[in-house]
Amino acid sequence: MQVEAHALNTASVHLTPLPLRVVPSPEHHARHKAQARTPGGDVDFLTGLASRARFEDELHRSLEEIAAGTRQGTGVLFLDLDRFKRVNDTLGHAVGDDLLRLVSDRLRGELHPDDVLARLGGDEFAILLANAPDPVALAQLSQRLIDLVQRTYLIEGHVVHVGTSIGIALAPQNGVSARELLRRADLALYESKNRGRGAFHFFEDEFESKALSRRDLEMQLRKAIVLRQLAMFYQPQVSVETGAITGFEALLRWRHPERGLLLPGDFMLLAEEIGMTLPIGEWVLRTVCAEAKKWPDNLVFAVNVSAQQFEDTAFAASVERALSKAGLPGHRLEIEVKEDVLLRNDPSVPETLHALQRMSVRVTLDDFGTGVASLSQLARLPFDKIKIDRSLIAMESADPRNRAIIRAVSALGQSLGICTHAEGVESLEHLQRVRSDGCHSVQGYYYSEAVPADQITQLIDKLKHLNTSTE
Amino acid sequence: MANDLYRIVYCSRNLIDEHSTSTTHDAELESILNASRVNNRSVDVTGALLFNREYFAQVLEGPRTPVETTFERIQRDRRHGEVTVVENGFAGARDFPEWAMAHAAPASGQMEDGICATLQLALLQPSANGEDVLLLMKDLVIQD
Ligand SMILES: Cc1cc2nc3c(=O)[nH]c(=O)nc-3n(C[C@H](O)[C@H](O)[C@H](O)COP(=O)(O)O)c2cc1C
Repeated sequence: MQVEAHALNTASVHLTPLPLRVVPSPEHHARHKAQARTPGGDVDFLTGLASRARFEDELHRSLEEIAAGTRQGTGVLFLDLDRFKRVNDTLGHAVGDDLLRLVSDRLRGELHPDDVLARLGGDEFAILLANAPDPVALAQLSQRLIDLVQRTYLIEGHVVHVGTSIGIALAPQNGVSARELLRRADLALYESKNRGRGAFHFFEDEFESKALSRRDLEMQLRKAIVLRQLAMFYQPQVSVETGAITGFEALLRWRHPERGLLLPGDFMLLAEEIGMTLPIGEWVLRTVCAEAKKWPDNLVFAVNVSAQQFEDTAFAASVERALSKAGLPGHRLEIEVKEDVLLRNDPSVPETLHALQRMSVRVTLDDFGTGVASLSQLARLPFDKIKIDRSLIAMESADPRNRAIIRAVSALGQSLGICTHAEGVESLEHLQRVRSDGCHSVQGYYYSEAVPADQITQLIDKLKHLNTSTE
Repeated sequence: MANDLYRIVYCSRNLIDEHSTSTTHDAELESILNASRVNNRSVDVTGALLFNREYFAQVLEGPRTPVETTFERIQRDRRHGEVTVVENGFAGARDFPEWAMAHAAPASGQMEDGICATLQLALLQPSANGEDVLLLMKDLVIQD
């Protein structure tokens, strides 16, 4: 069994509200102080590392020394594991606990004996540096820690992957109180996670204002559906053989009153943090089904679905509701999921796939070729279409290795009855190349960007002309 | 379960040149093989190691717990990176019963390209190519 949990580009859960996560309330602090006096209160039982209470005590002591001039400086590193929850969920807590112990060992091995390494709770770790940090050395250390943690683990017969992101705050530069320092390390950690994970960041002043504007955005996002600021845009998908439109990919946009047109990448991570993926996902399904209903029966409308949404046991039912509310037959709808869905070795995934197929809803594997899905995994699950990622298409050089991958996928698809679709087709040259590599359909700027619903008619006309003119 | 015969095969990228300054490449490899032979024998682990300038591939077989512990130690070794497990699971019999760590060595210059291609593919699509790597290594050790 393989569980991949390392950095993927897709958004993932960061449920804890920021930026107050690690800032203990006064009561909380008193409780930990009390705990620290009891035997064992200094030590995290699971990993043998320092406990949160011990970490905070040590931090206070270091900061007092800095204030007294007997210490030059210190630094705090916050780490948390990317996708740890998935390991716990799919392989169980015993494996999760072993993983935490192995991570602890790997981290410990890279540190100075006097550095304090603590587990703050869950999959959160913190390091308090014994010596005044040199930023260059600290950057190297962080990179080493990231590299080590993301290396493969073998635990009780399972191959396990996690990653880690790191946030760093320095004293006295970034703060002289424990509270400020911890909050700033946490903001830096947030930055690392937000920029694709598996990264480290030193705290920068602008993270404070970003945190504030995130707050604003959050408030606005909560109201966006009701205020009708969300909109679907549609990008045509075209048959390579006939040049005819086969359907549209529906893409979510947020018409933000001040910031203009926002793409999912600008707000979906936030949506996930504040638990709005599911309501937004429902809205998208309903809107797209209603739109699709207005168009001829041969046009298929594709909707992107996040791993979180797909994994929700009620997902198939919500698709069914959206279809029946719009009166749309299942074959008009296509669900696009990214590779990370495959990696959830979760029984709900094949179940949902089959449930969708029973409704004749097609399922597409999106962004294939960017990461982790292997050809053998493809063969195991009932996909109708594979979308080959734009990064493999767009290579200026038409890298022979990429072409080999495209050909291999197309050939495998052929033998399994799976269509292959190329994204990011921007020129005639791209089109000819992917055609000769065996792709069935394409989308990209060569045909059209995504347009609002009220421009679909125009778009269909335009593409008809393009067809007749190139024939 | 924990003591049934267990086998893993992994490939990794050789990073020795990046990190070794004083010692030469060959001396580093010699020390890996020596450490392996001593350590593995004491925990009943056998296997084979294949390497060239670019890649490593290794088979480790034995009771599961020491195989996993050995793997964890190797995994932390900075002389390689991108460690990719291409096969893991219980096995009927050892492939390298005689070897605490066999050196799977191609005769000089032989098939360097073929080996690189196999390992490169394995790093790219691990689950599809594990078997090829194992076969390749068995071939090379028997020839040896
Ligand atoms: C590619 C590679 C394969 C290795 N294989 C083994 C091995 O099979 N057994 C082993 O004990 N050490 C192996 N090592 C070395 C370990 O990483 C580590 O350096 C060694 O076990 C330390 O042993 P010592 O404490 O006895 O010096 C390997 C290292 C590399 C880079």
